[in-house]
Amino acid sequence: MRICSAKLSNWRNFTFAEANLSDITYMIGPNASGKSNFLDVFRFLRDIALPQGGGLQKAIASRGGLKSIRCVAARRDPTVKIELDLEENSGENTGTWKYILEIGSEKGGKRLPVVSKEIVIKDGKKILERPDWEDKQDIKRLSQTALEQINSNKAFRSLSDFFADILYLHLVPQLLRYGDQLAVKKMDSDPFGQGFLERLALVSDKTRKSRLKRIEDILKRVIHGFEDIDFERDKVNGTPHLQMRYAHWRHNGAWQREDQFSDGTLRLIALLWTLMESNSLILLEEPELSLHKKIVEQIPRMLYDARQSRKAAPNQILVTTHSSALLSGDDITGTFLILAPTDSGEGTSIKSPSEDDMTAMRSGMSPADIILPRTEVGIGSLF
Amino acid sequence: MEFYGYVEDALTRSVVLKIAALTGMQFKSDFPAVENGCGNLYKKAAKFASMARNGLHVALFTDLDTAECAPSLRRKWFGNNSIPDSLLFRVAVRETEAWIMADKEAFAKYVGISPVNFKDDPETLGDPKQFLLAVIKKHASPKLKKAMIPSGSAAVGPEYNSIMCDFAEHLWNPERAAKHAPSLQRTFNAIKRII
Repeated sequence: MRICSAKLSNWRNFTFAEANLSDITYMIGPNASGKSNFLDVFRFLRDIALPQGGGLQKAIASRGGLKSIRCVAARRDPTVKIELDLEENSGENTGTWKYILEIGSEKGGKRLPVVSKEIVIKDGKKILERPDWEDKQDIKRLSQTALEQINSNKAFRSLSDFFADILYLHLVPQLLRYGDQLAVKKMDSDPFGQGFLERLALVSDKTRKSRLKRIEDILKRVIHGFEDIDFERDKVNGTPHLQMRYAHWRHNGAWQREDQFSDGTLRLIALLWTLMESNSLILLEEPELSLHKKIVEQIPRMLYDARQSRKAAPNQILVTTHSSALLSGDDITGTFLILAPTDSGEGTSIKSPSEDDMTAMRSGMSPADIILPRTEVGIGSLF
Repeated sequence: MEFYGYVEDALTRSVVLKIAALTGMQFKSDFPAVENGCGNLYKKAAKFASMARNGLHVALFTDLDTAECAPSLRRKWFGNNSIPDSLLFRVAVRETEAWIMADKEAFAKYVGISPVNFKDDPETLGDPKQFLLAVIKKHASPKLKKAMIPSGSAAVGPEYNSIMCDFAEHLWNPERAAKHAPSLQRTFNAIKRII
């Protein structure tokens, strides 16, 4: 399944925004323009749909309550609205989905967040519309979405599963490397990569070998002197480890364990592994961090290759970036979304490249040449 | 018509925006974009030409630096073929700094140095930026020297660009400058022809 488009109203810094997503989508904007807030819509749906510890109330509470989610620029219309169009095209399952969720506040009482509207449409046919008669009988039901209720989501279980599988990744090399020594609480779904090695240890030998082989092939192209990568368990205490070998003057090269890898290398390996692992939507926050420019330039190609190398159904990737190196290629396959302040100055809008922009990029200019200047408002005059 | 504009540094961007405001030339929002040096612009010359052939308006502003003359620079960038009418390629002789110093009285006042230390025909200077820095080094206040004169491996001082851009944006008068900078006058004429 993949998300084709998302419409948001009153979500964080978007009074209204609409974006079309493709297999690989690059979201480009300056710092503090709302890139992470846009990604958070999908994390929010994931948090609702998670089979363990999920739910609307928890998803809202962990974000600091409905008032933190609501757009600050919103005045008259206080409901938060999310509308997604999705399509399914894996094997026997084909069809389209639409999911609409509106969240408002309880009238009176504690003014808890409640579902004010929830609609699921499959292949153009409405299969859920809330509030329904049951909600009217028992108003408490509106504190939960149908996504999180196993009893009522049977007809759209695949949609709910898709949301639950959405993966957010913002790898922090230090957490990956010293995960066992740092007393930092690991978050659900491990967005910062602390449990990366455990995840590696959990899959079957065959799967792991095959993924590491594909990662090896990709890394050989971008890291000079890189030879191979291997998984092993510590012989004494059984802790999982990754090791890597570089071409070296010694006959058999030199093996290094993950605590000796550079931040960039470690991040890159974890990134590629995730791309191969997830079946759903992957949200990548600034994958360029701590990588050399030459490698950053290869990221779009790596995303493409990692996606192509999957035997299972293709997944969907949404990347946020403001790296000119990442966008400097003239062969980047994907859709671009531009985040910029709205003309009225309230909130942020999401735009697509114009017809002229598309012509310019087809003439050989890179997205960095055509789209990035858009997002550098004010920077020119700073220096 | 709106131009995709590309310039080689922040100062040129400030200068171009000022010229655009005077002539009515319009850029796509947030353009012109600043490339890092003319080398990066030059690398993309063929792509700019291709954009223009595909019907887009493109404006490039670069420095002549040590090249012999603007037509020879144009040949180096685009070969002997004529470039499309919708591609505006303008060259400052020899550097944007010459266009700035061509508004002599205003600039001298801005940096607090007597105008007699500057030239009436700054386009004849072999290296306008070094000339400017030398004048600053010799005559400016200690505070301005510290801000504009480079040390170590830097080409210019830490505040050189912001000080120059500030002048270009607020006090520089392109029409006054054009009287003492023929390549700036030609740029005005070319912009008026194309828009």
